[in-house]
Amino acid sequence: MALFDTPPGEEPAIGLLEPPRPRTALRVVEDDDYPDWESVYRDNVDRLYRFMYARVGNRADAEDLTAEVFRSALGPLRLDTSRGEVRAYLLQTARTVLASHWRRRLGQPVSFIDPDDDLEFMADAPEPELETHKRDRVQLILAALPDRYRRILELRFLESSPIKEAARLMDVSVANAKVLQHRALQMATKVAEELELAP
Amino acid sequence: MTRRTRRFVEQLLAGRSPDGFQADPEEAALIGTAVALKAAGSPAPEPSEDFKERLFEDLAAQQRVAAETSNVVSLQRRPRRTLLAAAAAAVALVAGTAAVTHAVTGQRAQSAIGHSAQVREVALLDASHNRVGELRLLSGHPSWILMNVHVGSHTGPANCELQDAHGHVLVNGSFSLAGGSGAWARTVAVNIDHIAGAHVVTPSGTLLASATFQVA
Repeated sequence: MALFDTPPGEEPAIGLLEPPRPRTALRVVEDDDYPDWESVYRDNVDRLYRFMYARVGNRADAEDLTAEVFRSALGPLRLDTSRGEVRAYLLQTARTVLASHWRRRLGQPVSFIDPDDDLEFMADAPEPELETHKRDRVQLILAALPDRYRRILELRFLESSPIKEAARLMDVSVANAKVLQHRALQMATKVAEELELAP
Repeated sequence: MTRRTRRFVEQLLAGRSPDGFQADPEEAALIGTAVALKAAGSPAPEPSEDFKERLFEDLAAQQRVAAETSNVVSLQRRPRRTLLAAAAAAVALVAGTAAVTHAVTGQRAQSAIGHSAQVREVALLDASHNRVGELRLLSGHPSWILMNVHVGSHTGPANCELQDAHGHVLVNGSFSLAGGSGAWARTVAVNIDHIAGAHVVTPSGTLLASATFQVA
């Protein structure tokens, strides 16, 4: 059963952000499908929003991109497919929308330290496990940094301290805190890249 | 780190949507780390109920338009297999029908979407000024942008940007090209009368097609 009702041999996939997957890879799970598009939306809007937030880091962009995913995905979507297949399709659409966002915003693809977590956002697994995993990855990177670099990133990114407060807590000037933060970010990026290359 | 990267990170930390710029790979990697750190700093926030309801209403309108246009097409006894699967494409088909039937461009027409809609249509041209597609704007509640293109043989993602008379991007979105063919449709919140031009480009920035509207 095809996930999309694309007429064969006539038109390309319309409005799809990715080509449909091979039909043979799809199957119907009748007891596990969505009754209507509203249920698709209600069941997945939170997941997709959290995915987008984790990949852009702010609410405004996460909302815009979540909306773009649904506007692009719902039209071509057929409902006589399993929830898993629908979620996989939504995730694939989300990845493409996200890639397009970063191309527009920075002219470059942006990679993340936890790309393998994408599927977890769409799973029914308890969310705290995902949060814990994300934090573990970040903690691994922070642990590889010198103490002052780790501290400034913890204060600014994990504890949301304003720069003045971070500077006060570290007993440095605001200007020094900014320099520390920027150097720490650069080193954290290198550590993240090395971790990705590690076996 | 460049000043623009610092500004991006500070805007991110402030919870704002950061300003874009043309980054190099090193800057993009650093921003990826900053985003990951920011996202790990607190449990992922829930989307607001207001946002979810607004989006739901928007999607419901999109689905209604798709259903209505599908009904209209059925009444015209078009074979089902010739129907475009995507709701957006169904709207494009009806919009095209309306545009041809009523020969409207910048005039009021009773379109098949069930209400009086203003349809503006313009050709998409390639670099040699050959017609390679069409772009249609339907004003309404919501307004729609409908585009189809057949240019070259590119397969993969492409972007469509619609700009005002000053070159500011009002609407953009992505779609897939298969062998050079693709289509794109979406509802928009902007005043479509302000749309003056459109570009279809590859992700690397290669211009595939462009169109120019007369601003109303």
